[in-house]
Amino acid sequence: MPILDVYNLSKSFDGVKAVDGFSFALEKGQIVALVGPNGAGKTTAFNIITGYLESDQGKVSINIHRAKRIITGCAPYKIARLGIARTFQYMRLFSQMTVLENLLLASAKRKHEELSSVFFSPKSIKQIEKENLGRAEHYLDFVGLTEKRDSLAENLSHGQRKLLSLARALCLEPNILLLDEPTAGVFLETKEKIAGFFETLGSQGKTILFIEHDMHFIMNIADRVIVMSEGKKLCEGTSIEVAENPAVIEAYLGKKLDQSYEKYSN
Amino acid sequence: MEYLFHIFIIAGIYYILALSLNLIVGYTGLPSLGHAAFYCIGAYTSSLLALRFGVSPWIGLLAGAIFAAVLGLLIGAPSLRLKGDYLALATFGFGVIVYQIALNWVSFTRGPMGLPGIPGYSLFGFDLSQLWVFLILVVILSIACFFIINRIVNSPFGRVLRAVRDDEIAAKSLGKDTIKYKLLVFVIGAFFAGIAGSLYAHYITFIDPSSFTVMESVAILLMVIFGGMASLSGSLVGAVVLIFVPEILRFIGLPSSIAAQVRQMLYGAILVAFMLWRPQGIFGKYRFK
Repeated sequence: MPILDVYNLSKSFDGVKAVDGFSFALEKGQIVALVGPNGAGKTTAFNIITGYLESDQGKVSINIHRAKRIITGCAPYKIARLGIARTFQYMRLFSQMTVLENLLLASAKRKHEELSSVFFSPKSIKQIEKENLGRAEHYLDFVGLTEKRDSLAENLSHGQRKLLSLARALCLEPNILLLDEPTAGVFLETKEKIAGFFETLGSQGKTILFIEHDMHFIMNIADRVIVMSEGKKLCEGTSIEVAENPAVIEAYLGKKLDQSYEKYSN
Repeated sequence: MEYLFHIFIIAGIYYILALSLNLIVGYTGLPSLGHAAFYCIGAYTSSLLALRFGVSPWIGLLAGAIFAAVLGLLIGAPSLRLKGDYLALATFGFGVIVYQIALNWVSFTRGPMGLPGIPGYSLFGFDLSQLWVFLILVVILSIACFFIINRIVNSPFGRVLRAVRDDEIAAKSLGKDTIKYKLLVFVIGAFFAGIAGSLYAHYITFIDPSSFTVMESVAILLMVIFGGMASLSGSLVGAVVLIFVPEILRFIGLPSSIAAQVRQMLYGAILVAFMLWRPQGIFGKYRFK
C-alpha cells in the first residue's frame, strides 16, 4: 500500500485548470522529484495535498502505521499532525524569532503549548520542552546552523534560510516530507549538502516528495521522477527514463538540458 | 498630591488596557481597533450589577471581566477569520456597535445621561475609595496583570502566538490550530480590559458612553505603539506618558473647553510621528508589516 495516494486531483482558478486529473502514489521510503515548467501546477498540487487549497475533485489518502485515512478537505494543521511536513518555496520562517525558536515550534507534541500549561507546568510538560530542545539542537547540528542558534531568522542568508526551513520540517519528525524547491537559489556547496541530507533521510526510511528544477540534482537523488505539465502528469519513471522521454524534452527540458544530461552521463 | 494620585490611578488603569491590547496586537499581530468595547462592557457590567442588584464591586470586577471575555469570544469567532486591515475594520465596527448600544439602549444603560452614584470598593468594612488606597489597589492589580501576561508571552503558548504573528501559514504547517490561539488571545485580552473597565467605573463613580468611543480604542492602541509592540515595559511607558502629556496642556493654561480636542490632536500627531520615524515604538521589537 502506498504511504501517500493522490487520485485524480483537479483545481481551477477562474476557469483555468491549474491541476487537471493529477494522480500519483508514493511508496514508503521513496524519494520522488516533481518537475515541470513554471505554472505546471506543482505548488498547487502541494497546497491541495497539505490542505491549504480545496480541490474541485479528487482524493488524497495516506497510509501511516497501517491505518488508511482520507485527508482531502482536512485543515492544514490537522494534516501536519498526521505526520506530513512541508516547506514553502519562500521559506515562511518566523522572521522575528530566533533560529532556535523556529525549531522549538516544530514539535509533534502539543501539550506544552496549551494555555493551561502556562500556569500549571508539571514535570511532564518540562520533559516535553527538554526533548524539544534536544531535538532542535540535533537538527541545528544536522544542517550546520548551530552557530546561528540565537540569531533572528530574518538575519540569515538565503541559503541558511533554506536550511532552517528544512530543519524546521524535520523537527516535526514527519513520515512524509513535501519540499517545495529546497535548493532554489542556493550556492553549489549548500546544494551538495542538501543532497547529502536527502541520502541520510532516505536511509532513515523517510518518504520525500520534492519540487525541483535542477536535473543534475534530481539524477543524483531521486528514485523516481514525476513530470507535470499544464496540470497533468506527463510521465513518470526513473530520472533517465524521464530525461529520454520525447514528450518531456519537448514540454520541459528542451535541447539545452538534453545536452546537460549528456554531460552528466559522461 | 491628590491630583497626582488621580493621574497615576488613571495611568494604572490604562496600563492594564495597554498590556492586554499588546498581547493581541504586539504579540499575536492581530490589529484590533475595538478594545474600548471590552473596557465598556467591564465598566457597564459591574456598574449595573452594583446599582440594580447591589452586587459587591469585587464580584462586579470578576463579572465585568467574564462578560468582556464572552464578548471577546463573540466578536472574535466571526472576525478572526479575517486578516490584517479587514480584521482591524471588523473590530472597529464592533467597537462602534457596543458604543451605540451603550448610547441608545436608554432603558437599560440610561444612554447619554450615564450612570451616576456607582459605589466604590470596600474591604472588610473599610472604605477603599480614598485616593491613595485606591492607587495601591490599582498598582497591585496592574502588577498582577503584568505577571500573568508576562508569563503567557514567555511560555511555549506565547511562542505559538509570536509564530502566528510572524507567519500564520507556516504555523499551520507545524500543526498549530491558529484560529484557536487567536480566539484565546482575544478572550484573554478582553478579560483584562473588562477588569480595567470595572476599576474605572468604581473609581470615577460615574460612567457614560463618551468614555468608550472608538477614539478610546485608538488611544489605547497608541499607548501600545508608542511604548513598543511586544514589549510589556513599553506599554507602561506608553500609558504613563500618554496620560501625563495631555495633563501638561492644562498647566500651560489651555482652557478646559478645548483641552479634550487638543489631547486628541496631540495623540494623532504622536501616532503619525511614530509611524514615520519609529514604527516599532520606544522599546518595541516588532513593527507593523
